[in-house]
Amino acid sequence: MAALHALGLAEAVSLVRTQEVSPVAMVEDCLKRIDALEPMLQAWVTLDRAGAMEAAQRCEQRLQRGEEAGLLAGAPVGLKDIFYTAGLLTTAGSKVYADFVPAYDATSVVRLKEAGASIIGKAVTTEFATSDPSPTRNPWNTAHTPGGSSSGSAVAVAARMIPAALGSQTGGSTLRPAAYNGIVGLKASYGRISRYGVIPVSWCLDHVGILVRSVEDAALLLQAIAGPDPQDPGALTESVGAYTTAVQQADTPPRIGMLRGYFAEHADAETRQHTDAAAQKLAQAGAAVQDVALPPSFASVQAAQRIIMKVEMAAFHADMFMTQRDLYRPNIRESIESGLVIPGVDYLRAQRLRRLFQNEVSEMFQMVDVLLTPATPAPAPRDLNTTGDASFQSPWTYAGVPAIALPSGLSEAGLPLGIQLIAPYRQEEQLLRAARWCEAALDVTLAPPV
Amino acid sequence: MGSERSVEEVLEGLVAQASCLWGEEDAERQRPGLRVSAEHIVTISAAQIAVDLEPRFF
Repeated sequence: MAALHALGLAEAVSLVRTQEVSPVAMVEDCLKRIDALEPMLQAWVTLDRAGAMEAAQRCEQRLQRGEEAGLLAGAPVGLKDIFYTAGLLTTAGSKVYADFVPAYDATSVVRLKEAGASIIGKAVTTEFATSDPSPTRNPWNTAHTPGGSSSGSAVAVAARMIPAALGSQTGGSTLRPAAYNGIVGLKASYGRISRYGVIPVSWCLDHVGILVRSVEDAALLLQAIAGPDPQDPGALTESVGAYTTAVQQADTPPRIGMLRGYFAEHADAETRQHTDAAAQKLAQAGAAVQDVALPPSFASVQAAQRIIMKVEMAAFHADMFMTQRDLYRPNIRESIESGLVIPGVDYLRAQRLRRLFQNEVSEMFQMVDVLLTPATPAPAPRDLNTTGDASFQSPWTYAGVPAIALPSGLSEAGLPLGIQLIAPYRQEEQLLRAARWCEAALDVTLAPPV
Repeated sequence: MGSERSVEEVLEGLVAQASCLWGEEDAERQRPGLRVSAEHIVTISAAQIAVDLEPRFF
């Protein structure tokens, strides 16, 4: 058996449920790992040692009494520091929220706890989940960005501090750091996971993200937290799918649509060749791989996504910004300043284009189950003044369709490379089934040298 | 809003709005960031949208 802190989510839960592993011992081992690596990686804002131990002890007692302990029994989970946690500091990575302690838990946090997870603490986010870099370091090479905005969540999972964490994605803030750190990042359809109690960037674009180390783990975590929520006006009202079953039924090779055009033009040569090789490997394993063209409206999606994000960000921050502008860091400040003056008609044009793009994206799946792109244009840049390039993820966030990043290898410089799979709106089972098949065919698991 | 607007025209409109909010000097400081948004506005203005296509927010 691997060290407890290195167990994947599903494996850890399985061992806890059969009482082969103590959830208390697991939390203790994760905390020990965090203590050893935190000075170098700076992935955490707040650790809730006592709360995590109490949750683990409750789980252990339930199991000893022969009671059901939940889908995530004893699993240590981290939260990006924008998730409301009752009684626990929630800073959003900002001086503006430096002392903020929520009175209630976000819906996704409630569901984690109900499923038996132990909340280890709050992971570092860039300021208000935007683009000013955080202090977190990439465990593969600390001179390279870990990505953002869910930097702490991704690094904590990649460095085997914890098996799973929640992040968020408004542009590329879950899949990009997942790819830069060599782990799995999942963004379900818009509304599949409640946003209630998650400090917003943009109401229409925000998604809760999942950061784990396997597709099976992603399905398990999604199963635990997905579902309708009357507190979230954007939440899907339909019942959730059988995600954990879907990944166990990944025997049939998927039909994969390869997206080139913009993605081939904007990826560096190494990433482009690596993605082609990955697609070839999938084809050799039995997948039907064909090229799929991007729709006409793709030309404006990056611009439209930015306009919506800036205007809604400005709407959320307007009152605080007018009185505390000097407390905001440069990138978010610039975005809010722009959002405050972008005309309403242009915001609405961006929203109308979003609907057009959604319609055109749905037509892209007539002949394929999933679309494939590089997860990022290049490996994590050697630049701590950026969180990297979100342009390969943001179109799918803008469309609200589910997407997943899978590790697919290492660059010549020893940094993780990944692929991105995209599925039709509300088709998470289809995405997870295809992703599990691709994961098995690629047979790549990455662990950083820490 | 037609596609005939130039980046410079849109930018001057944004700077004028920023000037109303923050004053002329501050608005000039914001000009580089506002230029990026002006470019985005011009990009989306060039996209063809059917007149009967309504937005869907959620």
